[in-house]
Amino acid sequence: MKIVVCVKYVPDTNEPKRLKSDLALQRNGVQSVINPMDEYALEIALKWKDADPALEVVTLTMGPEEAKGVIKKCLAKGADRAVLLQDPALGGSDALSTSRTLAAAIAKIGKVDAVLCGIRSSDGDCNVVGPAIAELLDWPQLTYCKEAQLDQAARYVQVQREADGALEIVRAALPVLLTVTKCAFEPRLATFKGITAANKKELLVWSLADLNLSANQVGWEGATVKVMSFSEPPPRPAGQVLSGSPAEVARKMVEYLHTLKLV
Amino acid sequence: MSGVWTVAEVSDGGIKGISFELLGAARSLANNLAEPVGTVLIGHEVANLADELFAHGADRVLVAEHPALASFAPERHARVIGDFATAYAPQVLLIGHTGSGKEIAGRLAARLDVSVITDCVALQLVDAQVRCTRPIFGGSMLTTAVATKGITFATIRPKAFARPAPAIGRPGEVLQLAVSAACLVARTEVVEVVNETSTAISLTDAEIVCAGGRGVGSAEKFELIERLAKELGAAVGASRAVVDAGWRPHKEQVGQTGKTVSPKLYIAAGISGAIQHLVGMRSSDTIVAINTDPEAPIMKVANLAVTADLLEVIPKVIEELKILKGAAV
Repeated sequence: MKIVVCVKYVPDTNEPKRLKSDLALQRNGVQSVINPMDEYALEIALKWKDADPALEVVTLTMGPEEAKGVIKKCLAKGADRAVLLQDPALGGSDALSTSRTLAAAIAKIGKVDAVLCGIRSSDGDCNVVGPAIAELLDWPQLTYCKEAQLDQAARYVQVQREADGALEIVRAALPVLLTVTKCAFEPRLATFKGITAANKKELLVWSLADLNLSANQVGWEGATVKVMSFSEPPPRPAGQVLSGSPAEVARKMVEYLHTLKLV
Repeated sequence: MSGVWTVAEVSDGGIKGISFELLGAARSLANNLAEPVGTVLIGHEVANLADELFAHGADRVLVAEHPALASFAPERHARVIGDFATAYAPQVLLIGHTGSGKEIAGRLAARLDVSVITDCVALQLVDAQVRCTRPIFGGSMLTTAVATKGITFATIRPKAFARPAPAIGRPGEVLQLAVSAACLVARTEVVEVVNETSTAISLTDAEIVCAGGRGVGSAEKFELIERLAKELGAAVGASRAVVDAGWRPHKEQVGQTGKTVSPKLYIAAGISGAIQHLVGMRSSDTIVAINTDPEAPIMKVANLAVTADLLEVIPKVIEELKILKGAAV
Protein backbone atom coordinates (compact mmCIF):
# COMPACT_ATOMS: atom_id res chain seq x y z
CA MET A 1 0.00 0.00 0.00
CA LYS A 2 1.20 3.50 -0.79
CA ILE A 3 0.60 6.68 1.22
CA VAL A 4 1.52 10.18 0.06
CA VAL A 5 2.10 12.94 2.62
CA CYS A 6 2.09 16.50 1.28
CA VAL A 7 4.80 18.49 3.02
CA LYS A 8 5.12 22.24 2.62
CA TYR A 9 8.34 24.11 3.14
CA VAL A 10 7.48 27.27 5.08
CA PRO A 11 9.38 30.11 6.70
CA ASP A 12 9.70 29.68 10.46
CA THR A 13 6.97 31.62 12.29
CA ASN A 14 9.63 33.00 14.61
CA GLU A 15 11.41 34.76 11.73
CA PRO A 16 10.51 38.28 10.62
CA LYS A 17 8.95 38.24 7.12
CA ARG A 18 10.45 40.26 4.27
CA LEU A 19 9.38 40.58 0.68
CA LYS A 20 11.41 41.14 -2.44
CA SER A 21 10.53 43.79 -5.01
CA ASP A 22 8.50 41.26 -7.08
CA LEU A 23 6.29 40.62 -4.01
CA ALA A 24 7.73 37.13 -3.59
CA LEU A 25 8.93 36.07 -0.20
CA GLN A 26 12.53 36.85 0.70
CA ARG A 27 13.79 33.39 1.54
CA ASN A 28 17.53 34.05 1.64
CA GLY A 29 18.78 33.85 5.18
CA VAL A 30 15.33 33.01 6.52
CA GLN A 31 15.13 29.82 8.55
CA SER A 32 12.56 27.49 6.97
CA VAL A 33 10.86 24.47 8.45
CA ILE A 34 8.29 21.74 7.78
CA ASN A 35 4.82 23.26 7.97
CA PRO A 36 3.79 22.41 11.58
CA MET A 37 0.48 20.75 10.65
CA ASP A 38 2.22 18.61 8.00
CA GLU A 39 4.41 17.17 10.76
CA TYR A 40 1.29 15.65 12.29
CA ALA A 41 0.16 14.32 8.90
CA LEU A 42 3.56 12.66 8.45
CA GLU A 43 3.40 11.25 11.99
CA ILE A 44 0.06 9.53 11.27
CA ALA A 45 1.52 7.94 8.13
CA LEU A 46 4.64 6.84 10.03
CA LYS A 47 2.48 5.28 12.78
CA TRP A 48 0.75 3.27 10.07
CA LYS A 49 4.18 2.26 8.81
CA ASP A 50 5.26 1.27 12.34
CA ALA A 51 2.37 -1.21 12.30
CA ASP A 52 3.26 -2.46 8.82
CA PRO A 53 6.83 -1.79 7.63
CA ALA A 54 5.82 -2.88 4.10
CA LEU A 55 3.67 0.23 3.78
CA GLU A 56 5.32 2.78 1.50
CA VAL A 57 5.32 6.41 2.64
CA VAL A 58 6.18 9.02 0.00
CA THR A 59 6.46 12.72 0.78
CA LEU A 60 5.48 15.27 -1.85
CA THR A 61 6.71 18.85 -1.81
CA MET A 62 6.43 21.70 -4.26
CA GLY A 63 9.19 24.16 -3.52
CA PRO A 64 12.68 25.50 -4.16
CA GLU A 65 15.97 23.60 -4.08
CA GLU A 66 16.44 24.63 -0.43
CA ALA A 67 13.39 22.56 0.51
CA LYS A 68 15.62 19.48 0.22
CA GLY A 69 16.86 20.06 3.77
CA VAL A 70 13.33 19.80 5.15
CA ILE A 71 12.55 16.81 2.91
CA LYS A 72 15.63 14.97 4.20
CA LYS A 73 14.28 15.42 7.73
CA CYS A 74 11.08 13.63 6.65
CA LEU A 75 13.16 10.80 5.17
CA ALA A 76 15.22 10.65 8.36
CA LYS A 77 12.03 10.26 10.39
CA GLY A 78 11.06 7.26 8.32
CA ALA A 79 9.46 8.21 4.98
CA ASP A 80 10.62 5.82 2.23
CA ARG A 81 11.11 8.27 -0.57
CA ALA A 82 10.39 11.83 -1.56
CA VAL A 83 9.30 13.79 -4.59
CA LEU A 84 10.19 17.45 -5.00
CA LEU A 85 8.34 19.43 -7.67
CA GLN A 86 10.65 22.12 -8.86
CA ASP A 87 10.28 24.26 -11.94
CA PRO A 88 10.50 28.02 -12.54
CA ALA A 89 7.12 27.64 -14.33
CA LEU A 90 5.52 26.74 -10.99
CA GLY A 91 6.34 30.14 -9.44
CA GLY A 92 3.32 32.34 -8.76
CA SER A 93 0.89 29.45 -8.38
CA ASP A 94 -2.32 30.20 -6.50
CA ALA A 95 -4.13 27.75 -4.23
CA LEU A 96 -5.92 26.00 -7.10
CA SER A 97 -2.94 25.72 -9.45
CA THR A 98 -0.85 24.43 -6.51
CA SER A 99 -3.54 21.79 -5.87
CA ARG A 100 -3.61 20.93 -9.56
CA THR A 101 0.17 20.45 -9.60
CA LEU A 102 0.12 18.26 -6.49
CA ALA A 103 -2.82 16.21 -7.82
CA ALA A 104 -0.95 15.63 -11.10
CA ALA A 105 2.10 14.47 -9.13
CA ILE A 106 -0.04 12.09 -7.04
CA ALA A 107 -1.43 10.66 -10.29
CA LYS A 108 2.11 10.20 -11.59
CA ILE A 109 3.33 8.56 -8.36
CA GLY A 110 0.49 6.14 -9.11
CA LYS A 111 -1.47 3.53 -7.16
CA VAL A 112 -1.76 5.84 -4.15
CA ASP A 113 -4.19 4.61 -1.49
CA ALA A 114 -4.33 7.67 0.74
CA VAL A 115 -3.03 11.23 0.79
CA LEU A 116 -2.42 13.07 4.04
CA CYS A 117 -2.08 16.86 4.26
CA GLY A 118 -1.83 19.30 7.14
CA ILE A 119 -5.11 21.16 7.50
CA ARG A 120 -3.38 24.44 6.67
CA SER A 121 0.00 26.04 6.13
CA SER A 122 1.46 28.50 8.57
CA ASP A 123 2.38 30.95 5.78
CA GLY A 124 -0.38 31.16 3.16
CA ASP A 125 -2.98 29.70 5.53
CA CYS A 126 -5.57 29.12 2.77
CA ASN A 127 -7.02 25.88 4.20
CA VAL A 128 -8.07 24.73 0.72
CA VAL A 129 -5.31 22.69 -0.89
CA GLY A 130 -6.28 19.35 0.70
CA PRO A 131 -9.97 19.41 -0.29
CA ALA A 132 -9.07 20.82 -3.73
CA ILE A 133 -6.70 17.87 -4.35
CA ALA A 134 -9.49 15.49 -3.25
CA GLU A 135 -11.91 17.07 -5.72
CA LEU A 136 -9.37 17.00 -8.56
CA LEU A 137 -8.69 13.31 -7.90
CA ASP A 138 -12.43 12.71 -7.37
CA TRP A 139 -11.78 11.23 -3.94
CA PRO A 140 -13.69 11.66 -0.67
CA GLN A 141 -12.10 13.70 2.10
CA LEU A 142 -11.86 13.36 5.85
CA THR A 143 -10.94 16.69 7.42
CA TYR A 144 -9.73 17.96 10.80
CA CYS A 145 -8.40 14.50 11.70
CA LYS A 146 -6.74 14.08 15.09
CA GLU A 147 -6.19 10.36 14.78
CA ALA A 148 -6.61 7.86 11.98
CA GLN A 149 -6.56 4.09 11.69
CA LEU A 150 -5.83 2.33 8.43
CA ASP A 151 -7.46 -1.05 7.81
CA GLN A 152 -5.50 -2.46 4.90
CA ALA A 153 -7.49 -5.70 4.65
CA ALA A 154 -10.88 -4.00 4.51
CA ARG A 155 -9.40 -1.04 2.59
CA TYR A 156 -10.76 1.82 4.64
CA VAL A 157 -9.59 4.58 6.96
CA GLN A 158 -11.41 5.49 10.15
CA VAL A 159 -10.64 8.83 11.78
CA GLN A 160 -11.38 10.85 14.87
CA ARG A 161 -12.15 14.34 13.67
CA GLU A 162 -12.70 17.60 15.46
CA ALA A 163 -16.06 18.77 14.11
CA ASP A 164 -17.76 21.94 15.36
CA GLY A 165 -18.44 21.25 19.03
CA ALA A 166 -18.20 17.48 18.81
CA LEU A 167 -15.75 14.71 18.14
CA GLU A 168 -16.81 12.55 15.22
CA ILE A 169 -15.70 9.10 14.22
CA VAL A 170 -15.96 8.84 10.45
CA ARG A 171 -14.76 6.31 7.89
CA ALA A 172 -14.26 6.20 4.16
CA ALA A 173 -13.13 3.55 1.72
CA LEU A 174 -9.74 3.97 0.02
CA PRO A 175 -8.56 5.96 -1.81
CA VAL A 176 -9.17 8.92 0.47
CA LEU A 177 -7.59 12.25 1.34
CA LEU A 178 -7.13 13.26 4.97
CA THR A 179 -6.43 16.71 6.33
CA VAL A 180 -4.79 16.57 9.72
CA THR A 181 -4.97 19.02 12.59
CA LYS A 182 -2.87 19.02 15.73
CA CYS A 183 -2.89 15.56 17.25
CA ALA A 184 -2.77 14.43 20.86
CA PHE A 185 0.72 13.03 20.22
CA GLU A 186 3.90 14.84 19.28
CA PRO A 187 5.64 14.06 15.97
CA ARG A 188 8.70 11.89 16.40
CA LEU A 189 12.24 13.20 16.07
CA ALA A 190 14.72 11.77 13.61
CA THR A 191 17.18 9.30 15.10
CA PHE A 192 20.89 9.30 14.25
CA LYS A 193 20.36 6.01 12.41
CA GLY A 194 17.47 7.59 10.50
CA ILE A 195 19.59 10.56 9.47
CA THR A 196 22.27 8.25 8.09
CA ALA A 197 19.66 6.15 6.28
CA ALA A 198 18.03 9.26 4.76
CA ASN A 199 21.09 9.95 2.62
CA LYS A 200 20.57 6.65 0.80
CA LYS A 201 16.85 7.19 0.17
CA GLU A 202 15.43 8.32 -3.15
CA LEU A 203 14.68 12.04 -3.54
CA LEU A 204 13.17 12.52 -6.98
CA VAL A 205 13.06 15.98 -8.51
CA TRP A 206 10.32 16.42 -11.09
CA SER A 207 9.80 19.39 -13.36
CA LEU A 208 6.63 20.42 -15.14
CA ALA A 209 7.63 18.21 -18.07
CA ASP A 210 7.28 15.18 -15.78
CA LEU A 211 3.65 16.00 -15.03
CA ASN A 212 0.66 15.70 -17.29
CA LEU A 213 0.04 19.46 -17.19
CA SER A 214 0.60 22.33 -19.56
CA ALA A 215 2.35 25.57 -18.63
CA ASN A 216 -0.90 27.56 -18.80
CA GLN A 217 -2.42 25.47 -16.00
CA VAL A 218 0.25 26.31 -13.42
CA GLY A 219 2.36 29.15 -12.05
CA TRP A 220 1.74 32.78 -12.95
CA GLU A 221 0.00 31.75 -16.17
CA GLY A 222 -2.42 29.31 -14.57
CA ALA A 223 -3.23 31.50 -11.58
CA THR A 224 -6.71 33.05 -11.50
CA VAL A 225 -5.90 35.10 -8.43
CA LYS A 226 -3.41 37.92 -8.72
CA VAL A 227 -1.82 39.52 -5.69
CA MET A 228 -1.75 43.28 -6.18
CA SER A 229 -0.09 44.54 -3.06
CA PHE A 230 1.18 43.78 0.39
CA SER A 231 0.91 46.01 3.38
CA GLU A 232 1.69 46.06 7.04
CA PRO A 233 -1.40 45.77 9.20
CA PRO A 234 -2.25 49.05 10.92
CA PRO A 235 -0.27 49.20 14.16
CA ARG A 236 -2.28 48.49 17.29
CA PRO A 237 -2.76 51.66 19.31
CA ALA A 238 -0.45 52.00 22.29
CA GLY A 239 -2.10 50.29 25.21
CA GLN A 240 -2.96 51.52 28.65
CA VAL A 241 -1.19 49.98 31.60
CA LEU A 242 -2.95 49.16 34.85
CA SER A 243 -1.44 48.18 38.16
CA GLY A 244 -2.37 48.46 41.80
CA SER A 245 -4.34 46.44 44.33
CA PRO A 246 -6.44 43.59 42.88
CA ALA A 247 -9.71 45.32 43.81
CA GLU A 248 -8.64 48.61 42.27
CA VAL A 249 -7.30 46.98 39.10
CA ALA A 250 -10.47 44.91 38.71
CA ARG A 251 -12.70 47.98 39.10
CA LYS A 252 -10.69 49.93 36.51
CA MET A 253 -10.66 47.00 34.10
CA VAL A 254 -14.44 46.58 34.24
CA GLU A 255 -14.85 50.36 33.89
CA TYR A 256 -12.66 50.25 30.78
CA LEU A 257 -14.70 47.43 29.25
CA HIS A 258 -17.94 49.19 30.15
CA THR A 259 -16.79 52.43 28.47
CA LEU A 260 -16.11 50.44 25.29
CA LYS A 261 -19.59 48.87 25.64
CA LEU A 262 -17.98 45.43 25.81
CA VAL A 263 -19.75 44.62 29.08
CA MET B 1 -21.96 36.76 -14.99
CA SER B 2 -24.27 38.53 -12.66
CA GLY B 3 -25.15 38.99 -9.06
CA VAL B 4 -23.34 38.91 -5.77
CA TRP B 5 -24.10 35.60 -4.08
CA THR B 6 -23.55 34.20 -0.63
CA VAL B 7 -23.99 30.71 0.78
CA ALA B 8 -25.95 30.54 4.03
CA GLU B 9 -24.88 28.20 6.82
CA VAL B 10 -27.64 26.32 8.58
CA SER B 11 -27.43 24.35 11.79
CA ASP B 12 -30.08 22.91 14.07
CA GLY B 13 -32.81 24.36 11.88
CA GLY B 14 -31.53 27.94 12.20
CA ILE B 15 -29.33 30.27 10.19
CA LYS B 16 -25.82 30.77 11.59
CA GLY B 17 -24.53 34.26 12.28
CA ILE B 18 -21.84 34.14 9.58
CA SER B 19 -24.62 34.02 6.96
CA PHE B 20 -25.74 37.53 7.98
CA GLU B 21 -22.16 38.82 8.04
CA LEU B 22 -21.80 37.53 4.46
CA LEU B 23 -24.91 39.50 3.53
CA GLY B 24 -23.35 42.60 5.12
CA ALA B 25 -20.25 42.10 2.95
CA ALA B 26 -22.31 41.33 -0.18
CA ARG B 27 -24.76 44.22 0.19
CA SER B 28 -22.27 47.07 -0.12
CA LEU B 29 -20.52 45.39 -3.07
CA ALA B 30 -23.84 44.74 -4.80
CA ASN B 31 -24.99 48.33 -4.31
CA ASN B 32 -21.81 49.60 -5.94
CA LEU B 33 -22.10 47.09 -8.79
CA ALA B 34 -25.84 47.74 -9.18
CA GLU B 35 -26.38 43.98 -8.94
CA PRO B 36 -28.78 42.01 -6.76
CA VAL B 37 -27.72 39.97 -3.75
CA GLY B 38 -28.59 36.29 -3.79
CA THR B 39 -28.18 33.63 -1.14
CA VAL B 40 -27.94 29.89 -1.67
CA LEU B 41 -29.80 28.08 1.10
CA ILE B 42 -29.07 24.36 1.33
CA GLY B 43 -30.75 21.85 3.64
CA HIS B 44 -33.88 19.90 4.36
CA GLU B 45 -37.10 21.89 4.83
CA VAL B 46 -35.25 25.19 5.06
CA ALA B 47 -37.34 27.38 2.72
CA ASN B 48 -39.06 28.95 5.74
CA LEU B 49 -35.72 30.55 6.68
CA ALA B 50 -35.67 32.71 3.53
CA ASP B 51 -37.50 35.65 5.15
CA GLU B 52 -34.72 36.07 7.66
CA LEU B 53 -32.21 36.29 4.80
CA PHE B 54 -34.38 38.86 2.98
CA ALA B 55 -34.57 40.90 6.19
CA HIS B 56 -30.76 40.98 6.31
CA GLY B 57 -30.28 42.12 2.72
CA ALA B 58 -30.80 39.19 0.32
CA ASP B 59 -32.89 40.02 -2.75
CA ARG B 60 -33.17 36.41 -3.88
CA VAL B 61 -32.89 33.14 -2.03
CA LEU B 62 -32.14 30.02 -4.01
CA VAL B 63 -33.38 27.02 -2.07
CA ALA B 64 -31.82 23.58 -2.60
CA GLU B 65 -33.67 21.07 -0.47
CA HIS B 66 -33.29 17.33 -0.02
CA PRO B 67 -33.49 15.04 3.00
CA ALA B 68 -29.88 13.98 2.27
CA LEU B 69 -28.79 17.60 2.72
CA ALA B 70 -30.17 17.82 6.28
CA SER B 71 -26.68 17.71 7.72
CA PHE B 72 -23.55 19.27 6.28
CA ALA B 73 -21.60 17.01 3.92
CA PRO B 74 -18.74 18.77 2.09
CA GLU B 75 -18.89 16.77 -1.12
CA ARG B 76 -22.65 17.13 -1.51
CA HIS B 77 -22.71 20.80 -0.60
CA ALA B 78 -19.83 21.57 -2.96
CA ARG B 79 -21.66 19.80 -5.79
CA VAL B 80 -24.92 21.66 -5.13
CA ILE B 81 -23.10 25.01 -5.08
CA GLY B 82 -21.21 23.98 -8.23
CA ASP B 83 -24.53 23.28 -9.97
CA PHE B 84 -25.85 26.64 -8.81
CA ALA B 85 -22.78 28.41 -10.23
CA THR B 86 -23.20 26.70 -13.59
CA ALA B 87 -26.85 27.75 -13.76
CA TYR B 88 -26.54 31.30 -12.41
CA ALA B 89 -22.95 32.36 -13.29
CA PRO B 90 -22.44 34.59 -10.26
CA GLN B 91 -20.07 37.53 -10.55
CA VAL B 92 -19.08 37.29 -6.89
CA LEU B 93 -19.49 34.28 -4.57
CA LEU B 94 -18.87 34.63 -0.84
CA ILE B 95 -18.80 31.82 1.70
CA GLY B 96 -17.73 31.80 5.36
CA HIS B 97 -14.13 31.06 6.32
CA THR B 98 -15.59 28.73 8.91
CA GLY B 99 -15.08 25.07 9.78
CA SER B 100 -17.53 23.95 7.12
CA GLY B 101 -16.72 26.75 4.66
CA LYS B 102 -13.07 25.71 4.62
CA GLU B 103 -14.11 22.12 3.88
CA ILE B 104 -15.93 23.10 0.71
CA ALA B 105 -13.83 26.06 -0.51
CA GLY B 106 -11.12 23.87 -2.05
CA ARG B 107 -13.55 21.41 -3.64
CA LEU B 108 -15.61 24.25 -5.01
CA ALA B 109 -12.56 26.04 -6.43
CA ALA B 110 -11.69 22.85 -8.30
CA ARG B 111 -15.28 22.51 -9.59
CA LEU B 112 -15.49 26.16 -10.65
CA ASP B 113 -11.97 26.04 -12.10
CA VAL B 114 -11.06 29.32 -10.39
CA SER B 115 -8.98 29.75 -7.28
CA VAL B 116 -10.38 31.12 -4.06
CA ILE B 117 -9.24 34.14 -2.07
CA THR B 118 -9.48 32.97 1.51
CA ASP B 119 -10.05 34.55 4.91
CA CYS B 120 -10.92 38.01 3.57
CA VAL B 121 -11.28 40.84 6.07
CA ALA B 122 -12.10 43.63 3.59
CA LEU B 123 -13.62 43.88 0.10
CA GLN B 124 -13.38 46.97 -2.02
CA LEU B 125 -14.69 47.70 -5.50
CA VAL B 126 -12.08 49.55 -7.60
CA ASP B 127 -12.35 49.88 -11.40
CA ALA B 128 -15.06 47.18 -11.49
CA GLN B 129 -12.68 44.77 -9.74
CA VAL B 130 -13.30 43.34 -6.29
CA ARG B 131 -10.15 43.83 -4.27
CA CYS B 132 -9.97 41.30 -1.46
CA THR B 133 -7.72 41.91 1.52
CA ARG B 134 -6.56 39.05 3.69
CA PRO B 135 -4.01 38.52 6.42
CA ILE B 136 -1.04 36.22 5.77
CA PHE B 137 1.82 34.96 7.94
CA GLY B 138 -0.53 34.89 10.89
CA GLY B 139 -1.62 38.49 10.40
CA SER B 140 1.88 39.96 10.35
CA MET B 141 1.10 41.16 6.81
CA LEU B 142 -1.95 41.94 4.72
CA THR B 143 -2.24 41.16 1.05
CA THR B 144 -4.73 42.44 -1.49
CA ALA B 145 -5.68 40.18 -4.38
CA VAL B 146 -8.13 40.14 -7.28
CA ALA B 147 -9.64 37.39 -9.37
CA THR B 148 -8.43 37.67 -12.95
CA LYS B 149 -10.61 35.08 -14.65
CA GLY B 150 -14.34 34.83 -14.22
CA ILE B 151 -15.99 34.73 -10.85
CA THR B 152 -14.54 36.37 -7.74
CA PHE B 153 -14.74 33.55 -5.22
CA ALA B 154 -13.81 34.43 -1.64
CA THR B 155 -14.14 33.11 1.88
CA ILE B 156 -14.90 35.72 4.55
CA ARG B 157 -13.38 35.74 8.03
CA PRO B 158 -16.05 35.49 10.75
CA LYS B 159 -16.56 38.77 12.65
CA ALA B 160 -14.76 40.82 9.98
CA PHE B 161 -18.01 42.25 8.58
CA ALA B 162 -20.90 43.66 10.58
CA ARG B 163 -24.23 41.91 10.55
CA PRO B 164 -26.76 44.30 8.93
CA ALA B 165 -29.69 45.52 11.02
CA PRO B 166 -32.68 43.41 9.97
CA ALA B 167 -35.58 45.03 8.09
CA ILE B 168 -38.47 42.76 9.06
CA GLY B 169 -40.85 42.18 6.15
CA ARG B 170 -38.35 43.23 3.47
CA PRO B 171 -39.49 41.38 0.34
CA GLY B 172 -37.50 38.99 -1.78
CA GLU B 173 -37.81 36.30 -4.38
CA VAL B 174 -37.60 32.59 -3.57
CA LEU B 175 -36.08 30.41 -6.30
CA GLN B 176 -35.66 26.65 -6.32
CA LEU B 177 -32.61 24.69 -7.38
CA ALA B 178 -33.22 21.10 -8.38
CA VAL B 179 -30.84 18.79 -6.52
CA SER B 180 -29.44 16.33 -9.04
CA ALA B 181 -28.73 12.71 -8.15
CA ALA B 182 -25.04 13.37 -8.80
CA CYS B 183 -25.03 15.75 -5.82
CA LEU B 184 -26.04 13.01 -3.42
CA VAL B 185 -22.75 11.07 -3.31
CA ALA B 186 -22.08 9.42 0.02
CA ARG B 187 -18.49 8.28 0.26
CA THR B 188 -17.96 8.89 3.95
CA GLU B 189 -19.86 7.34 6.84
CA VAL B 190 -20.25 8.82 10.31
CA VAL B 191 -19.76 5.94 12.72
CA GLU B 192 -20.28 7.85 15.93
CA VAL B 193 -20.68 11.39 17.18
CA VAL B 194 -19.07 11.79 20.55
CA ASN B 195 -21.03 14.79 21.67
CA GLU B 196 -19.20 16.76 24.24
CA THR B 197 -22.72 17.96 25.17
CA SER B 198 -21.35 21.35 25.99
CA THR B 199 -23.60 24.34 25.58
CA ALA B 200 -20.36 26.28 25.45
CA ILE B 201 -20.12 29.03 22.84
CA SER B 202 -17.94 28.08 19.90
CA LEU B 203 -14.55 29.75 19.99
CA THR B 204 -14.63 31.12 16.47
CA ASP B 205 -18.21 32.44 16.74
CA ALA B 206 -17.75 34.16 20.10
CA GLU B 207 -17.91 37.94 20.52
CA ILE B 208 -15.74 37.60 23.62
CA VAL B 209 -12.98 35.07 24.29
CA CYS B 210 -11.45 34.47 27.74
CA ALA B 211 -8.22 32.59 27.31
CA GLY B 212 -5.89 31.21 29.94
CA GLY B 213 -2.27 30.16 29.80
CA ARG B 214 0.32 28.53 32.00
CA GLY B 215 0.00 31.40 34.45
CA VAL B 216 -3.38 30.03 35.54
CA GLY B 217 -1.37 27.44 37.47
CA SER B 218 -3.28 24.18 37.08
CA ALA B 219 -6.15 22.43 35.35
CA GLU B 220 -8.28 22.87 38.47
CA LYS B 221 -7.65 26.61 38.69
CA PHE B 222 -8.87 26.97 35.10
CA GLU B 223 -12.33 26.93 36.65
CA LEU B 224 -11.69 30.63 37.34
CA ILE B 225 -11.33 31.31 33.59
CA GLU B 226 -14.55 29.36 32.99
CA ARG B 227 -16.38 31.45 35.61
CA LEU B 228 -15.16 34.69 34.06
CA ALA B 229 -16.20 33.41 30.60
CA LYS B 230 -19.65 32.53 31.93
CA GLU B 231 -20.06 35.96 33.49
CA LEU B 232 -19.12 37.62 30.17
CA GLY B 233 -21.02 35.19 27.92
CA ALA B 234 -17.63 34.35 26.43
CA ALA B 235 -15.97 31.29 24.92
CA VAL B 236 -13.00 29.75 26.74
CA GLY B 237 -9.66 29.74 24.95
CA ALA B 238 -6.30 28.27 25.87
CA SER B 239 -2.64 28.61 24.98
CA ARG B 240 -0.67 25.76 23.48
CA ALA B 241 1.19 25.23 26.76
CA VAL B 242 -1.96 24.36 28.70
CA VAL B 243 -3.34 22.16 25.92
CA ASP B 244 -0.03 20.28 25.74
CA ALA B 245 -0.11 19.93 29.53
CA GLY B 246 -3.54 18.30 29.19
CA TRP B 247 -5.35 20.98 31.21
CA ARG B 248 -7.65 21.87 28.32
CA PRO B 249 -8.83 20.19 25.09
CA HIS B 250 -7.26 21.10 21.75
CA LYS B 251 -10.53 22.54 20.44
CA GLU B 252 -9.93 25.49 22.79
CA GLN B 253 -6.40 26.17 21.56
CA VAL B 254 -5.79 29.57 19.99
CA GLY B 255 -2.77 30.07 17.76
CA GLN B 256 -0.74 28.55 14.98
CA THR B 257 -1.65 24.94 15.73
CA GLY B 258 -5.09 25.88 17.02
CA LYS B 259 -7.78 28.29 15.96
CA THR B 260 -7.63 31.84 14.65
CA VAL B 261 -10.11 34.14 16.35
CA SER B 262 -11.03 37.79 15.98
CA PRO B 263 -13.60 38.56 18.66
CA LYS B 264 -14.60 42.03 19.85
CA LEU B 265 -12.80 41.34 23.10
CA TYR B 266 -9.96 38.91 23.83
CA ILE B 267 -8.89 38.49 27.42
CA ALA B 268 -5.53 36.76 27.81
CA ALA B 269 -4.90 35.66 31.38
CA GLY B 270 -1.54 34.22 32.28
CA ILE B 271 -0.52 33.92 28.62
CA SER B 272 2.95 35.25 27.83
CA GLY B 273 2.15 35.74 24.14
CA ALA B 274 4.61 33.73 22.07
CA ILE B 275 4.39 34.62 18.37
CA GLN B 276 2.60 31.29 17.73
CA HIS B 277 -0.18 32.46 20.06
CA LEU B 278 -0.30 36.05 18.77
CA VAL B 279 -0.91 34.91 15.18
CA GLY B 280 -4.17 33.35 16.33
CA MET B 281 -5.66 36.36 18.11
CA ARG B 282 -3.97 39.60 17.19
CA SER B 283 -6.77 40.76 14.89
CA SER B 284 -9.14 40.90 17.89
CA ASP B 285 -10.73 44.36 18.26
CA THR B 286 -9.75 44.84 21.89
CA ILE B 287 -7.14 42.83 23.77
CA VAL B 288 -6.90 42.81 27.55
CA ALA B 289 -3.91 41.01 29.01
CA ILE B 290 -3.51 40.06 32.66
CA ASN B 291 0.01 39.03 33.52
CA THR B 292 2.41 39.34 36.42
CA ASP B 293 5.22 40.16 33.98
CA PRO B 294 4.82 43.65 32.52
CA GLU B 295 7.44 42.78 29.88
CA ALA B 296 5.57 39.72 28.51
CA PRO B 297 5.03 40.00 24.71
CA ILE B 298 1.24 39.82 25.14
CA MET B 299 1.38 43.11 27.10
CA LYS B 300 2.83 44.88 24.03
CA VAL B 301 -0.15 44.05 21.82
CA ALA B 302 -2.76 44.61 24.54
CA ASN B 303 -5.05 47.63 24.54
CA LEU B 304 -5.21 47.21 28.29
CA ALA B 305 -2.22 45.62 29.98
CA VAL B 306 -3.03 44.64 33.55
CA THR B 307 0.04 43.89 35.62
CA ALA B 308 -1.35 41.66 38.33
CA ASP B 309 -1.83 38.11 39.56
CA LEU B 310 -4.81 36.78 37.66
CA LEU B 311 -5.78 34.52 40.57
CA GLU B 312 -6.31 37.64 42.71
CA VAL B 313 -7.77 39.94 40.06
CA ILE B 314 -10.24 37.69 38.22
CA PRO B 315 -12.43 36.95 41.30
CA LYS B 316 -12.66 40.73 41.84
CA VAL B 317 -13.49 41.28 38.17
CA ILE B 318 -16.30 38.72 38.44
CA GLU B 319 -17.62 40.60 41.52
CA GLU B 320 -17.49 43.92 39.66
CA LEU B 321 -19.32 42.40 36.68
CA LYS B 322 -22.06 41.08 38.98
CA ILE B 323 -22.44 44.56 40.53
CA LEU B 324 -22.63 46.08 37.06
CA LYS B 325 -25.30 43.60 36.00
CA GLY B 326 -27.24 44.23 39.20
CA ALA B 327 -27.14 47.98 38.55
CA ALA B 328 -28.43 47.47 35.02
CA VAL B 329 -31.50 45.52 36.17
